[in-house]
Amino acid sequence: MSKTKMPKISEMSKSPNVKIAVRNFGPIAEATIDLQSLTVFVGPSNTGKTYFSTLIYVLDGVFTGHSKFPGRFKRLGVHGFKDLLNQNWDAIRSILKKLNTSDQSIKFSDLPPEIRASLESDLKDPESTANELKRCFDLNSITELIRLKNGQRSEMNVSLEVRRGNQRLWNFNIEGCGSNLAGHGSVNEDLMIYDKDSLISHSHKELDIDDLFFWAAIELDRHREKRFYLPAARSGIMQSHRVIASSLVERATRGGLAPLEIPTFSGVVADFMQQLILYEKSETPNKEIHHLADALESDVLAGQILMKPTPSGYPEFLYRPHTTGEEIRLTRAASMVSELAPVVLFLRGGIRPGDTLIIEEPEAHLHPGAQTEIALTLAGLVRAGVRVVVTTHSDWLLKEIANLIRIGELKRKGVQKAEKMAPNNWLLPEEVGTWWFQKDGIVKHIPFDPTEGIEPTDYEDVAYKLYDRSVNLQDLFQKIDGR
Amino acid sequence: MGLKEFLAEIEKQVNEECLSKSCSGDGCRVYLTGTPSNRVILDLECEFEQRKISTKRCDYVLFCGDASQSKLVVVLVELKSGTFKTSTVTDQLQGGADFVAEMFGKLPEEANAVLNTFEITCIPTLFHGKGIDKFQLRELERAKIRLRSQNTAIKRSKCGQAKNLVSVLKS
Repeated sequence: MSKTKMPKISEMSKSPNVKIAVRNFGPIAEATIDLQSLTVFVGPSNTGKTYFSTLIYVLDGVFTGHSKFPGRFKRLGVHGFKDLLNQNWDAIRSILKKLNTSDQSIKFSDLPPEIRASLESDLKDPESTANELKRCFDLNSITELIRLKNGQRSEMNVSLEVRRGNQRLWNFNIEGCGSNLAGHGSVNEDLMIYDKDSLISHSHKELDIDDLFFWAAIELDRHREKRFYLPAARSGIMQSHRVIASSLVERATRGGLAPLEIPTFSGVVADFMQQLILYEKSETPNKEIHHLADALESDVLAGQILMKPTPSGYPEFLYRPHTTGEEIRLTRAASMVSELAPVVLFLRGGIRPGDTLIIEEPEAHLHPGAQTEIALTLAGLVRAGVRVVVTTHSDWLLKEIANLIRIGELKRKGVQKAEKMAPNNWLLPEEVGTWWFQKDGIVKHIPFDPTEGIEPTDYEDVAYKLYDRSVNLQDLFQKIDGR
Repeated sequence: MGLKEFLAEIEKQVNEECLSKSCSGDGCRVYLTGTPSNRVILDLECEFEQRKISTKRCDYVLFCGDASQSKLVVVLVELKSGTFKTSTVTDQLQGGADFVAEMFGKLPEEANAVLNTFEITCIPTLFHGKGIDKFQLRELERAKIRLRSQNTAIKRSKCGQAKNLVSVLKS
């Protein structure tokens, strides 16, 4: 293998753009959402914020992230890729010849049909998506996902498009009508599979099959993103996961004399529980992300989250306040601790740049001051290269996110004072996408405004209503008391 | 002297060119729909200019009322379509209230006697655009405007919203 070729860092750090569009999906009439480094969903309850978040999680899982190649390629692994190349050796040899003689790059359309079919197989088959949708939404049938309009279920559409700059890399669409799900998608014919310019060459050695393996290893390793979902119910799960796990194992045998019906969780809750039960601290933590966990502990929790192995095999999580040093169970700790403990654990448990982290209502159980601290954690994750999605009802959180965008913008303009503010927790306007969900309407983008920040209309309405009631009541007091 | 005559007396107390048919301006539309037709609108910018007063003042004062119930309503109108400081709005509305109080104090004896029979309601109102946030509302909520020993909280309504003035009168 030629060891003189290295991928360019700038190329590696580029994250493709992801656009997900839905129609008649759950409670959502229509939405077209560009996932940003930080995507924020706001709006009244039962308008589809969790549905869309779960969909992101599903698609992230099916396609192993939203990167240059759809899932199948990444799931092949280096050995699988080697086998695929060996099976198509003649075609590969001719491609190498072409590369070495004309100094051209390999496009997707240059690949042999068998390899193309293999790489596109996930995009042609909706079955894996359907299964993951059913698992994550805890459905008996896909029909349950289709929006009810006037008592009728119409056609549901979900589409995913992954782009880099102006170029479409690949796309996937599913349509659901009744219990049937039809799916189709394709990789862009012009997608650059092997770009000689993306490798820094220090030799004029001819490319050989080893170079292709080396390239594949880099691509496969680079794109093995993981997904993490912190459901709204995380606080309760943190306190009960060991009991639930023990009880499930006890009942995991086949039914005996009495028929046994095992209740189910949604996939996102089950995955969250599994991650807790199998929790291990990362041996090679990302430094920046690890620091974010430390900051949450010192600035918000005022104590540490600890993991203690137990004889049952399911770890127990404890809280050690800085003030007393006593190790206490989460059941005895403040609700804020159970709420934030999984965030700390996940940050230490292997979230890496390129991963997707979805947090439902990160503000739950938190004092307004702590809610603003969470904004710093989210911005820190963005700076570390994690794709973050949050649902929120917190005006405090939105206000602080807006402030961090202002700082980012000032930094970009070279304002010295801004350099010292939030050194690793700033955001840029284009890194944040806020989307307003509404009942029976189209999901709308809320643009950041330097003056107004991020202001959902319905929050404003609630504030006005409260204000009007307050001043009218105050006037009544005035009339009674003559104050 | 009834309300109609009293309002006519108010008109006499101010500069004629400062009497206005609308309360709109500064990119902020105020709809008069549904408000009593018997009303006087005074453009305070004009009036202060004529009187060479340079203190703070709100944009308009609207006098109207309900003759059958001997009620006089004084709406102090401040228009802010963009961003603003809460303290400025409070000072401006108070400036308008002080002007009205001073004018009432200088009314002829008969009008003054009628005034004392009225139940006076002062409605200091901020008409605003999108430049107001919840933190400003919190500040505004604490502010009071004083007119003739009444301390009144500041009402608000949105510029350009249908029936934005009458909704304040009815609240």
